[in-house]
Amino acid sequence: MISSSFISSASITDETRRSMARLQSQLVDAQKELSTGRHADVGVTLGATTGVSVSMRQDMDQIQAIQNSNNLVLNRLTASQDALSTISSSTSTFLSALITGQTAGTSQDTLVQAATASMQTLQDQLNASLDGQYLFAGINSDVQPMDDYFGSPPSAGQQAVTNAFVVKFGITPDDPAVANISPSDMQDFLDNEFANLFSGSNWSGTWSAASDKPVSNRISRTEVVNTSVTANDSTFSNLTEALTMVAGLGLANMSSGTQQVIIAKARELTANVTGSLTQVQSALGVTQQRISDSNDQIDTQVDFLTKSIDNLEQIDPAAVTTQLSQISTALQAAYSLTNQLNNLSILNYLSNS
Amino acid sequence: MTLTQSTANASSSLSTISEQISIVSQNIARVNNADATRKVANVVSGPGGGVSVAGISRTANKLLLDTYLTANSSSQTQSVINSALDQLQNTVGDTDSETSPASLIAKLTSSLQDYSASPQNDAVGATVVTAAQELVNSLNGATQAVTDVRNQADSDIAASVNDINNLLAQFQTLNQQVVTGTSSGTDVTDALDARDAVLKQLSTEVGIRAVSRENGDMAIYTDSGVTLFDKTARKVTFQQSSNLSPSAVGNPVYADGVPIAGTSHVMSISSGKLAGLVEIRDSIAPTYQSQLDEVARGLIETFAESDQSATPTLPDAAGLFTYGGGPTIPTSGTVVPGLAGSIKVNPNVDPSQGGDASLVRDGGISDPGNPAYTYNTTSGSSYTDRIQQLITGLDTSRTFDPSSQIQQSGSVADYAKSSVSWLEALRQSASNEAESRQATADRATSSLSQATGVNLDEEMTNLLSLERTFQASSRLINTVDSMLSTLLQASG
Repeated sequence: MISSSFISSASITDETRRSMARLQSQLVDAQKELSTGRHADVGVTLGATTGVSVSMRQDMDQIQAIQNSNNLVLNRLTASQDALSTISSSTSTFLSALITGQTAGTSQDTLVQAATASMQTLQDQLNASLDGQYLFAGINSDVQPMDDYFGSPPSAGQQAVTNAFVVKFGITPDDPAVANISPSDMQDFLDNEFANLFSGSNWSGTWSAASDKPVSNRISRTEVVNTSVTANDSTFSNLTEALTMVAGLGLANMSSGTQQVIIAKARELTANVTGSLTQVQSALGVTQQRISDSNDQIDTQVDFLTKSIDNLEQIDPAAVTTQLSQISTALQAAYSLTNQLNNLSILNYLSNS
Repeated sequence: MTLTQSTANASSSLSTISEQISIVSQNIARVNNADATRKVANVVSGPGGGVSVAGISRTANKLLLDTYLTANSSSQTQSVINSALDQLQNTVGDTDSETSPASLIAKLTSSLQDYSASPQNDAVGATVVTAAQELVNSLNGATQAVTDVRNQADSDIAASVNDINNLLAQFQTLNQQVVTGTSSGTDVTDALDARDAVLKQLSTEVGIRAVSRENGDMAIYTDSGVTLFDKTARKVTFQQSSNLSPSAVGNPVYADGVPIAGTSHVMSISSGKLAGLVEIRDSIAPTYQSQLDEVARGLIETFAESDQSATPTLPDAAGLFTYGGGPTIPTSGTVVPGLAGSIKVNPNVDPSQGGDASLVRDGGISDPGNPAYTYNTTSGSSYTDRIQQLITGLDTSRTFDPSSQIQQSGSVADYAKSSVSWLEALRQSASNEAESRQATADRATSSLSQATGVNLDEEMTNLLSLERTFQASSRLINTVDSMLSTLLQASG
């Protein structure tokens, strides 16, 4: 009775039962893959390669954060550029007023007004802020960098100028007696005591509350660059010096010769400032360019990373669909087989004898 | 040959057939019992032509049974390991979910980058602290998960040992029945079936080798050769730990006084649930824990603050991330067991605990009252040097403990990533291995069942032929009876 072709009834049904269980679990996985478009269990499918996918996601997070912060920095740089071009155009206006002022016989009131207006513009623009951050304050971005020179009570800058003037000439700048100051004395004052008021430490001590340290930002994974110009840049102290000598030393009341000394000095300074302003603007422009380049590069990288992650994690919908139909065919076959096997018993063929 | 002889033969046939039918009915009743073997009545012819049932044999197959025992043990080991790895995988989650330490480190870097663009904004600073808190929660949670897996394994080992002892006791009873039955010549096939069933269950718990001896006696050894049963059951002992901390080592399992699992020993078992559980408790889970600990240590090291004085004298102190032993920085390149469970965000910087988030920008988290650790000496509100330093630090290569089985140098983010790779690689091979071992075990089960199980059709066919024989024998008795009666009438 024991023959090689013997098979037990239990193993016949067991075999189909096991294959149905296996097919059903494959079916669940295939359905999940089709609905999410990704492997049912990414970890098990990728194994040791999972780290690559994790690492690419880390990179993507980081460069996208850099791009976000770059956009904030770009806004700030654009606002800074706007302020600088306003300063630049008001400086040009002042320079032409100085050139006109050098022509003998013109009333110097216009020139003084032009200087005062330029000074206001300069202060306003250096105090420009964006999102609560003063653009020209360096890292002291919560402090307004410039005081109003003409404010009341007088600003520290105005007091320093007045003090130096009194020490040198014995009178205040608004005294009509300034008419008696000789051109050579004025030249001496401008070159030494007055110029000294705007030099390095005096500028940051008296005039500006900004920090020497510009704001720096990471604009790509490896690049950290300065992304601001501070009010302590010599461009601004020189411009302030030129504007102050015209607007704050009682120019209108002085003798024509002394006036010309001041105007000549102011013109020399302002002409230099025009040049250095352009440099400051182009330096910021270069940074802007680097940031937008970096952003473009990030776009490319994000595209690449997204594609690479997809390559690793995504399934081929066509393949899975085919697989799904294969599984369901096999499952149907298993069901019908179970039914047929069930009927295929000798019991059904034995007559009741 | 006389008529009475014929009647005697026919009646012996009737009683033999009844016995055979009873065996057929037993077989049919067990048609769906995987452990039952097919019984066959051994019919012998007597001297006068009569028949009788000399004994009952069963269709056992020792070779297929042994194959089944080995395949089952090795499949059980892998399936236990597989399910523990799935539990550990929950600490990592899918690659697109932000739950793994690796992706949360990336999130922390991103939030630092955001903060560097708006350093004056304390609210953005607070998001850095929140990201740090999430990372800490993930590491703490993962440590808890690993500890749970180890404790679960430890208590499963205790349960498995208990099962083994119960099964061995059952085996002893059944073996006794077989030995006495065999020597006294009674039917022991049911006892043999039951004993085989116990062996099958035993192979689920521990890898075994069964050796047959005279009189149907059987001895059991572990796959490593330690005696589990020889005439009497040997005691398998294990002391369950009440709570396994990350640094604690679980107790070994002894059989007959010899360590068979839980400590490196030549007699260590290699298959069965028990082997898998010990592997998880003593190797897989602790290694993963040490990787988490190294991630935690790397973070503490990355965010450590150094003395900023012109002539530094103070040691580095734990900054944004600190731990039970803070502010001292743990030794570089050496795993601190359980660090991932005790790492926390420094309360000095956590706004929800009364701290100041802007210390992330300024430094001095370790000791806010001490100016030595302050980086932003001029209190500039757009100071970003420290933030940049931290971002760079997260990208800087560090040394990690080689005992954690993954790369020894790389950034914290890289290391965390490698840990994910390690776990997933293990899962992948475990899952493939489990599948193939399962297939082998299935194959062994069906071969065994095919060869030794009951086939209903065959039993029915046998029943038919027995029925016919019964009819024929009855007819024979009837015929002899009528012949005798004819004879009596003729003579009467």
